[in-house]
Amino acid sequence: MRRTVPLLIAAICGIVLIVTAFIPATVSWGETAAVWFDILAAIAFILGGGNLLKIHLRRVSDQSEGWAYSLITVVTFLLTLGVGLFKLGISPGSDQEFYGETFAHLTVEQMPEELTFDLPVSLAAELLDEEIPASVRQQFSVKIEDKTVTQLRFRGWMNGGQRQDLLNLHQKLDWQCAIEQLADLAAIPDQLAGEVRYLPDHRALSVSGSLNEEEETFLRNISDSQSWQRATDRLVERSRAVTSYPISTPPESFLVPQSYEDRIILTENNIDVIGPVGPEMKAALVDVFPRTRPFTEEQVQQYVDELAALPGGLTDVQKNTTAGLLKSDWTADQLIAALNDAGVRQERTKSACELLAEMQAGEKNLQLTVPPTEPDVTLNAAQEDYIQQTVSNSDSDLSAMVQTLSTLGDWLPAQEAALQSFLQKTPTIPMRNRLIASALITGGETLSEEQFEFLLAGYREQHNWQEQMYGLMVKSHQVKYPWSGEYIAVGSPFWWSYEYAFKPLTATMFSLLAFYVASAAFRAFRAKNFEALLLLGTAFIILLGRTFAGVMLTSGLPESLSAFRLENITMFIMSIINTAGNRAIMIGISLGIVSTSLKILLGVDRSYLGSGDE
Amino acid sequence: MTERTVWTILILAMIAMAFSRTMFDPSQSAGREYVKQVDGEWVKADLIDRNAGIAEVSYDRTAGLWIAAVFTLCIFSFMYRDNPFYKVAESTVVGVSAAYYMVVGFWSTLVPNLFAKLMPGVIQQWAMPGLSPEIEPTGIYYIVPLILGIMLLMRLVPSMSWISLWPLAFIIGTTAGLRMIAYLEADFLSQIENSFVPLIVFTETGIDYWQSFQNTFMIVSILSCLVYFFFSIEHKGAVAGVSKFGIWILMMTFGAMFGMTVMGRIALLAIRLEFLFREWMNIRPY
Amino acid sequence: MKQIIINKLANLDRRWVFLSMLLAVAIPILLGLEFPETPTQQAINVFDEVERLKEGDRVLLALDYDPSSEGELSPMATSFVLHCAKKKVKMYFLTLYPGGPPMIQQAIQRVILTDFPNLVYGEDYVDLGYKPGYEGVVKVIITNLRELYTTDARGTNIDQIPMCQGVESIQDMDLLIAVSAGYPGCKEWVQYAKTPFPDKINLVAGVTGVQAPYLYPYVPKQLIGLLGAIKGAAEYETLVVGKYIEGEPKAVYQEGRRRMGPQLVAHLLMVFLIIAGNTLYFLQSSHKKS
Repeated sequence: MRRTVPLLIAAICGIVLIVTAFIPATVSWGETAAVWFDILAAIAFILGGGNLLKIHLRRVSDQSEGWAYSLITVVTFLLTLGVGLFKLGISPGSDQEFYGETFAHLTVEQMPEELTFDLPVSLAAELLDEEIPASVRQQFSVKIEDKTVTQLRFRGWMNGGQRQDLLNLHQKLDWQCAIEQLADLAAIPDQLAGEVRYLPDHRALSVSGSLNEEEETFLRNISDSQSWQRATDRLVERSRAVTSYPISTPPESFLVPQSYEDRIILTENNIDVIGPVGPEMKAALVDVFPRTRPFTEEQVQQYVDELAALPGGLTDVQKNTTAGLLKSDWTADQLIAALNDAGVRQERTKSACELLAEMQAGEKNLQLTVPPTEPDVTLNAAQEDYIQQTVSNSDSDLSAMVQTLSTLGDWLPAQEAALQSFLQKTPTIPMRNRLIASALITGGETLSEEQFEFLLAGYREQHNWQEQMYGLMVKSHQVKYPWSGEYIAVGSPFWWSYEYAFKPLTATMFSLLAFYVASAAFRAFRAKNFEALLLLGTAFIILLGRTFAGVMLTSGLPESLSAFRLENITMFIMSIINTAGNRAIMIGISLGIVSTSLKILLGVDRSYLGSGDE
Repeated sequence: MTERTVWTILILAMIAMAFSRTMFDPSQSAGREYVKQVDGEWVKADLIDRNAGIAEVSYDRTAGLWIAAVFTLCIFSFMYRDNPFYKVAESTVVGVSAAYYMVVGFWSTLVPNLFAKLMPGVIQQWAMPGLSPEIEPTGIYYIVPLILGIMLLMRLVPSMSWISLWPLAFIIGTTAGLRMIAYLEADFLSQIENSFVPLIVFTETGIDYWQSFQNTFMIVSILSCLVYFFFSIEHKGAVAGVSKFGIWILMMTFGAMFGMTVMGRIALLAIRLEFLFREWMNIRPY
Repeated sequence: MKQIIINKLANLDRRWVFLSMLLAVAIPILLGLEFPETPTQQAINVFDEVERLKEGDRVLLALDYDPSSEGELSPMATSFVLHCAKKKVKMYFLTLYPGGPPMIQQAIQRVILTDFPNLVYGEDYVDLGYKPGYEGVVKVIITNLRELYTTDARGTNIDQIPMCQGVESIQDMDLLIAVSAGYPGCKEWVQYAKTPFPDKINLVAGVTGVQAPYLYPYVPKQLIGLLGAIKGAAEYETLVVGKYIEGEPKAVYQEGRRRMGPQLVAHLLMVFLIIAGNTLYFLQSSHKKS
């Protein structure tokens, strides 16, 4: 019994995997077996660690020879395991923390009745044979009577992702129309859109930023239920908490962004913020450094001359590099092209209910989109000239371009958005200067202290301000998932043990092989017969041919004899002789593997079961 | 002078050189690690960051750098003779690597692929907020690898280690099944297919003699080597001749493998020495 | 007298040989010895295959190595990432080695974060991390990626990563680049990914010197191109840097070429040691016969 069951397990698993290679319908069994195999491989690591601990602890307790070294093994093992398993010193994963949002605990069951949305429908019940997507499972339910779905119910607000998951469930138009109607019914009210949302997986009612009085009143009026009011109280209290953060003098060009004026109080050495700071707010606070503009030839030359005039001067290579980098910045033509692209009218996609109505009206060929009725908007000559002039003029304010452009010709909101996003992506002047500094010191070149100061003073200011704003964001943040960080995050103690213990030790252990190969070459490799001579001769050719020595040795050979150049002989040996030999070896090994596998699966080879004395 | 004295003097001299290099390096990079903060994370700072004034010396990474260099030298000392420094380094690598693999196995697979399938709600609340807390219908089947895993861990208990045969059998069976098909397809059938190359290669202008020679030579070589491996018949007469040619091809193959192996090993030594010279002591050619 | 010298040399303490190897590698590093590199056909094949990619194509970079083979393989990984970033393809990183995740972090830090800061994580590149299971991992992800990878290495749900939406399995990749040190590695990618799905998978690889001879039989039908050892790394690096970097490249893009300097001197030492060892042996045995 003890030995029969394992034999059966081995046989069944092996045969399942062989069968999956031939019958496509069984591919998922093979996947499952492979996934379980992967899990067991991970558990095997645990087994290895446990075994190590057992052996070395025994040595220490028995005080056998070399027990001190075993103690070192045990101590380093436990230290590394501790910092790794408990994720010590690892901050929460930044993309899972919902910076800028305040959570108040509210499960789907606690959702008030007023936020339960019912839609009467008439759909075939087979539609619900499919598995409901995980994102909506908690909130979505149906009522079925007589093989017909009569009602769709959704508790809480539906977000875009959930709507899409439900739409993707079936392609049938009646289903899609019903979902669209349910989504409209369960949409977040406009007064709260963008600020408040419900996250069912996190069991939280969430507010972005700070909840103002209007939003608070609206939220409270939704329901009188105790859990709802408690959640709102929690949101009010936390999202209006004031965070005070000490800062050094803000950059000269710093102005509190208009959209956040009601939440920020700035004093000389301090910034007070009401509510948590989110990524958008942080980006707005940081976006105060001037951005680059396209340089004219004179401006490029002026910049290079200014840099060269500082103590230390510039070599010709450095001057060319600087000029090249300045000229490769963005151009007005690129901006114009981006605005013209944004002016192309998009087709409107019809909603499922529109398509359903058409289908019910008898339309056979359903068009999914409506072609644009208005012509595309491209910039006219006046607008283009204005852009060309304004971007090069360093005194002009690019964000004010919108007003003038809209008066000079046709202008769409999509083009305004494209303009803002294009300008957002241009580098800041400090970063461009940093790039120039980095390029100027490659290849052994150097710059003087004054030149570094000229190029990097702005970068220093930008960097320090960015870090302070990040610090403000973290201080104002309510940690939600402290264990969510990456286990090998750079800078953590576990990473330290990898970088400064595991890595140098294992790499150096393997590098000792270079010494042994040299010793073997001197003491062991004897050309005692013709075959050994062939082996060593080939080794010589490869050793020389794979380096520049081979090229040098036979570079004198004329073109007609180029096949005898060492590097070409090396290629012949690798791609013909080595391939032939290894192919024959591979064929032999594969037959051996097949026979061994069959012996194991058929129970002929039972060596893995051990001696059987246990 | 005894050997011990010589070595003590040598080691002290090396320490003195290392310290003096650290103190007197004009660019102040030797023996130190600089970091800067980017979005709260401390990352390695380069020369530009140092010139900009935003980098600072990281004491824990500097200590780590010196520890890494000392460990490297301890392991190199084995080349002279087995000694306690080497043994300490060896014990450390055994402990650290076993723990490293355990932690990696736990966080990269056991948590997301086993526990998160069995109890997604708990795992989502604790360590993996990005997952859905809803259990999948197939999630309950993951109880099987969990039980097999616990049985595997029974290997640590001598009286119960027979239980670990079941998951071992699963692993062996799965591996055997996977490998049989893969090796047959990729290493047997495909290699035979790849060997079907034209003996005479025709081009637009006539016969490509060089390519034809290469193809013919390759096929003859493969067949000779296979004849050599065929031990069921006696290697006499013509068979002996062909298998002799096969041995020659195999010897040349092994020679090529030896040459490439040497190449590989030396690069590993080169990177360690680069670490000691460039990253630790900042000794660069230019 | 002559015989005494011969005997003494033949029985030379192997530590002198170790010292000679150490010097043969250390001195070129200190002197910064470098030689010109001429790419051979295999490196050109690999380079051309990556060059064929178009902007937005999906590339899987399997960095299946750890610090024990970093010397040979990290220059290859760096060059591959540089090439892919210049071609503006979408990069999916994963590894089959437990010591691999920091190698991925290193490749991302050294190339993408330093020289391509405008690339966005989740849209242009993603780190899927490590899963144990050797060839079992390849077997699963070749038909179903999400069966094993429910999140990326940072714990973000894979369905929330823009570039992973629409990727059902590895068959959706336009190119598979395997940088591998041994087992599991390139051979497993050939056996479990390329061979069962020859029309869907394109595979190029960079491997250690030890592995390379074993993989030549797969070229060119199963493996389009193969970079072997530090020489292959140096050749590929030369091609990528020659095409995409003007002027003097940074030190991180010259690693392969830099390590060829000590290679040459060490190889010459090896040839000398083999010849010397054999000469001394024959001199000794001929004396014994007489």
